[in-house]
Amino acid sequence: MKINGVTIDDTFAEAFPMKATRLIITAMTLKYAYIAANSLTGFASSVIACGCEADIERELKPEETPDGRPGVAIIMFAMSKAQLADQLTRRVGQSVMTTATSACFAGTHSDTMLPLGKSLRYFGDGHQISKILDGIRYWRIPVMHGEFLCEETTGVVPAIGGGNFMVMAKTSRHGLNACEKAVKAIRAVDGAVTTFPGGIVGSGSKVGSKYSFLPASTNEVFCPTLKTRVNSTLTEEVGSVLEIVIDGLNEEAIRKAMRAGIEAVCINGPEKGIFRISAGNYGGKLGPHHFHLREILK
Amino acid sequence: MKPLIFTLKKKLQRRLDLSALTPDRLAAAQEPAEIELEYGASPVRAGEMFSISGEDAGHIELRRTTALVTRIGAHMTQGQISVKAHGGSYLGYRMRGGTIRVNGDCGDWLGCDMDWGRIDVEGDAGDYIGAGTRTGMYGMRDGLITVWGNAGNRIGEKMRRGMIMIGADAGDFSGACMVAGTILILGKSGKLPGYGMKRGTIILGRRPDRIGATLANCGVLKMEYLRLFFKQLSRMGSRYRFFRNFGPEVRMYTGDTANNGKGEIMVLLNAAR
Repeated sequence: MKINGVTIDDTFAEAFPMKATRLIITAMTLKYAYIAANSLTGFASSVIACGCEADIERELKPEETPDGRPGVAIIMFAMSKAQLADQLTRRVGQSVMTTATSACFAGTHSDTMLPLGKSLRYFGDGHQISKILDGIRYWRIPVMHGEFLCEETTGVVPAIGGGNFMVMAKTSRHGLNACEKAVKAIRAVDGAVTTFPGGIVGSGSKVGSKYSFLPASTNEVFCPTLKTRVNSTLTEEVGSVLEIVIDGLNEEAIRKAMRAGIEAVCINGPEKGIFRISAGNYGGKLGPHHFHLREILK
Repeated sequence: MKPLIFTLKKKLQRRLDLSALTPDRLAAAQEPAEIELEYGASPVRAGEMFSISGEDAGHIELRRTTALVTRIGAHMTQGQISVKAHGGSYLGYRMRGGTIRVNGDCGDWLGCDMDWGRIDVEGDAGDYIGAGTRTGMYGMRDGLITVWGNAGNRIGEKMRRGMIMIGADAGDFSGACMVAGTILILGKSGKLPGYGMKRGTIILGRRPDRIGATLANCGVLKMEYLRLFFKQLSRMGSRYRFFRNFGPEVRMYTGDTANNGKGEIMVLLNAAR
């Protein structure tokens, strides 16, 4: 299969179940909403060592936010509810509450709720006030800029992590140019995020290592410098491989995001240094969710 | 289905207790006309006092009632009661759910001791709205009371949770000894709101006649919480849309320090309707 001269491998991306929550962060200006969101989602690229994966889903207009201020929606993913709850408290407490004029609300409601303001309220040292509006409890925590307003809980939903595709390019410059377009296209898909820096993975990993203490190590079969030393499928003209990893709230969101991303990459074609698209999998042993590239692009 | 309509056919001389006419009680009753009411100190059948029509026991409509009726919707847990005339006193007493809508005025103790539910009054209401009984520790414990007209004194006294909204003016001692919850008075409020309050929020559309010396002035603040609060209110129906124009700037008072209280009175600085 080829799209605009770019070969699409007959393979699949292997993804695994995660738990996720969506948060709505607002502030006096969009700039400060982004500052809070970027701080929260910083160092949240992979659960391998960050505790969670998180990224900005989309920008919200004032009429879309609970308090009528500009905001952004972010999605956080973790391997378990307990891990997600722990990261929520740490990240909202240290990144959102500390951002001037910010407020934080639940972006998902479900039968299973995780503590949000319920944990953070203690920062108020007894001066915190709770208010119930339309059946939802909010905490008003007095802080130096005024009050930090935070919804008591946020809903946790089953989600999927690890949707991915690899872009084989002539050089990193060619790869980045195409991948930036892909990330922009994926941003337009609701319920899907790319949690790595800039949405692009420069050092994709495989599970395990020759070193017993490492849970993950470099994906050598996609390293251009190792193509003659390992069982690589990279052809001579490929000088850079970049990966886009997608986490989503459901299979449909990931499928849509992968399709949008791959199509955006393929626009560049071989004349702009894009030769092949592949995907990372572990032979179907790691995760139950398989996203076959050729099926997605039909 | 047409609501079950009770039209008062006698001129009342004494107090008529209508606590038996709730959707809960009527759902279990064989014949609405046989339900026993209390007229003064005497029992009386509903059929003797009212002409009855309609069939939906989940929605009761009361017509031609006067200020002498009491306890409409008392203890109700579900359904709707529409009062097309006067709501009398103790309307919604200890109600635990459902909705009561009153087209006319109401007497004292509206929503007294209520636990949950919603009461809407088009006209005026008397004293002690959402308050507790004299012997009770707390006033209303949850729910929403809206009075679009004027209200009397001591609204929300000892209230524990929920919200009272007064569309016009309120009397003295609003939120006296309140423990928590929210009181919103859009018009003018009388003397000493928040007297003895422990916690809770009183939001005033205009500066009151007199603020107690033990409520400390915190100056002008921007309360971001009010953006959320007003946005939620503005979504409650077309009648509430004017809340979209309200801003978060307030003059804030906290106390009552005489009661070691942490309550707050917010006088809105931008409440143009």
